[in-house]
Amino acid sequence: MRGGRKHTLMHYPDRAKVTIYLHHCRFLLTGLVLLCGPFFMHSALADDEATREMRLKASFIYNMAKFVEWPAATAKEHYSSMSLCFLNADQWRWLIDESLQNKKIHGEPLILRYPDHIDDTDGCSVLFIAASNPVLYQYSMAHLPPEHVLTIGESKDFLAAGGMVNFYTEQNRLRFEINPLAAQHAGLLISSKLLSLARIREMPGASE
Amino acid sequence: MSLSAISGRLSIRSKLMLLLLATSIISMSLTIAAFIFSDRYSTRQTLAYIVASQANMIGSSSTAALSFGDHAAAEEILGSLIHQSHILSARIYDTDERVFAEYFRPGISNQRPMEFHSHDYSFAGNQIDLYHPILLDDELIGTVHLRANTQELGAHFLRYGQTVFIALAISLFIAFMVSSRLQRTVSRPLTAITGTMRRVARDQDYSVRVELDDENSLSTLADDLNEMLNQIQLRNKQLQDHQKNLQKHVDERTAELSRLTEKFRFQAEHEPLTGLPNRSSLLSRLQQLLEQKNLHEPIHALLFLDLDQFKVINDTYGHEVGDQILIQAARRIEKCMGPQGYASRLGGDEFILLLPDIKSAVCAEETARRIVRELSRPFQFNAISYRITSSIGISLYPDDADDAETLIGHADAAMYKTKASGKNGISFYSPNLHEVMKSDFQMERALQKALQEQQFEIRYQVLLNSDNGELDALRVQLHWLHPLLGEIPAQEFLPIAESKGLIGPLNEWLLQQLCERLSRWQQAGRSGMRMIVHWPTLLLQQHDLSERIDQLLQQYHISADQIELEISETGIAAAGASVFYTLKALHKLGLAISLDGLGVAVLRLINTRELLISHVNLNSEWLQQPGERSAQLLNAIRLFADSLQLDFVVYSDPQHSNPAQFIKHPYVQVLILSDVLSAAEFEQRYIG
Repeated sequence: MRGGRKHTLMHYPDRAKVTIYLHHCRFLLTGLVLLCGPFFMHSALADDEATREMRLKASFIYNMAKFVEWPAATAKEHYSSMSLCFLNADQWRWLIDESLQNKKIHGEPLILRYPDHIDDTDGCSVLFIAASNPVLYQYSMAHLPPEHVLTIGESKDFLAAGGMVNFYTEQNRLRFEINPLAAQHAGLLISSKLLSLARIREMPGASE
Repeated sequence: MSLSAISGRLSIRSKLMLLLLATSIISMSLTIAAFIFSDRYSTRQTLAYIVASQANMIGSSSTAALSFGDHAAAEEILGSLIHQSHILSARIYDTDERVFAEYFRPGISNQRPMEFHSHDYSFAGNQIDLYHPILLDDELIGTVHLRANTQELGAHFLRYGQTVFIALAISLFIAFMVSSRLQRTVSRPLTAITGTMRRVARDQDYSVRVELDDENSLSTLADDLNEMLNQIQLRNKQLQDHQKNLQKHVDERTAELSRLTEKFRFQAEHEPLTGLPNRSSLLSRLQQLLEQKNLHEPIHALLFLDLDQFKVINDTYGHEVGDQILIQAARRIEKCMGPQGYASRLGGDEFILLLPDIKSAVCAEETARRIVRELSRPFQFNAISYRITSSIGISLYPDDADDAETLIGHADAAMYKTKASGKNGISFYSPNLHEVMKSDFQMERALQKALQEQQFEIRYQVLLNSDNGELDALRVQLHWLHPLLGEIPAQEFLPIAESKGLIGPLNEWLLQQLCERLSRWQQAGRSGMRMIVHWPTLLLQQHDLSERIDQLLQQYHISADQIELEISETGIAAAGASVFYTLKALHKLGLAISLDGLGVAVLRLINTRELLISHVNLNSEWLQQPGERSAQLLNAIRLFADSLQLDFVVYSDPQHSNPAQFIKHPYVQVLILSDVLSAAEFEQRYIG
């Protein structure tokens, strides 16, 4: 780290030169982008957008697990073998694996699971339900596990359906909203730090 | 100027003050410095701790923002630092060391570029940079960097310094007050002590004392000093008393000494019995008088006084009476002399009186007669009267002599003249040889002088053989050639020499002279000469005479028969047995000894026309030694009696044999002596 910092410091002037150089070549670059744009832009940007979002979501899900406390009775079970379950996310399996493999929570290795159905989610600590398959999503939403599972979704009605955390995009930024009462019912304690970042939507009794 | 030089001039008071103040300043400064350093360190530590806790809080709060990439939330968290006035700026870095969120205190420009450091914290100038890791579930997710202002610290120190300064000033003031109070307890007694010492040293006044009000260790010192002064004062007084006593003692001794000196001088100059000046005093007085040079020629008279028959009184009545008479006589003499006169006692009954500066000889005569008259009055002692007379001889200066000794001698001679002319009177000196010769005093001195100066001359009477007219022997005569009196014959001075014990040395000198002369004549070819010397019987008592004569003979190679000693019959008759031993020894030596003046008395009696005696008594000793000599003597007596027609009577002791059987002659009658009888015994035996 120290060496790298030093390196950066040493090349700082060079970077300025590059900036000046780039400033001179501004028109040339602009021309190149305009010419090549129609051929690559869609696929590259679309792919990037979805992947980037998913990567971010994976990271968010992982981080959320750190700000949630499970009940003491199940804590040991959870911390020793915390399972992050991704439902309807087969297409992002590679990305999730890439992002979260070898990560640890409370010193224990994560278990990444990709169940096919909501009924197969026993033992999951965190359950993310991707909205890629709307039918399955709706079904899963209707059958959310009653307790001890942090449920995360990505639709406007997820919290109303009894979900705890829901991703949404605002000003091209990925944000999330939380229903603390749902978590409370499920016996989970969500850190205020996490809550301070989220939009709080309290929907009592929505899970029933 | 050195510190010690300055401190040397300060008073004890100032020194003590200075010392106490300096001590308190130094100790306080050290304490304050220690406090400041400790406080500075602890303040920094505290500040670092405060900033670290804030960084920890920020980090902890921003974990979620950081992990969910919520810059706004992170900056909102950082924005809460606006209430912390000492936080200048803050940053949150992500794990890639990129700035995730940052905060700058409003109104404060970024003085220094903020860079990522892994240090915990570092101080630079008035700022502290602190880096705190942001951990989430033990995983590093970023770093908080806080930059805080330490000027708060500076202000703190300023306040601290002000407080310390005020405290220092107050404590210095208190220290000054306390020390000035304290030093008084030390310096005041010390000043009192030194002041007292100075006064004692300056005035030599040991009565001064140190006086202290309070009790402390210095008052003990002062007490000791006072005690010492007491001792010194006491000693001083003792010393002064001692000196006074000593001075008194010395004065007493000096007075005693001068008294003694006076006494000894008096004793040396006076004779003890009468208290009159002695002979030496008189001599020095006379010398002094004679040496005075006066314009007019003074006349001094010297009186030689002798008490007549004093020896008889002394022998008859005892020395006590004699001494009393001498003392009274001295008083009478003094009385007669008057204040000008100077009386002295020579010893015995002789006095010398000096009458200085008289008008004429008549005055001396009057005084002398008065003295004789006074001394002839009876002396009273123990209710008994003693009568005595005196004889005085007078000599006058400058008529008779001009030196002391001669004046005395002349006065002595004049005194002898008085004695010779019937005593109890006075005589003036007249220059007469006979008087001089009769003066023992003069003679003795003159003879001694004559011996020393060899004023004697040996003369010879030649004895010729009547048969052939040849020289038989030389008869020696001794003559005294006195330089003033001329020639004095031997018969006049020899008896005096004999009585004064001078005959021995004189004859020894004579004998030596004769031997030397004989020896010289022998060398000149005239050997075998005989000399006849008169030899006083007194000298025959010298037991070593023969040895000394033998020694002389051998020394000059003279044979003994050349000397003939002539002795007188009268001397031998009175001499003791020792004389005969000497004569025997001399005879044995070979010396001729002749008897001079045999039968002088007989010759004088029978040498007249008519016989003045009827008979001659013969001592029975003549007949006590029978023998040839005795028979020859008897024959000679018989012949003598026949020739002169004298009768001889022999007194015979009945205890001895009757001499009548030896002597058968008509002119010799033997009478037998009886025992000595009293008158009564005689009357009883022959009359009654």
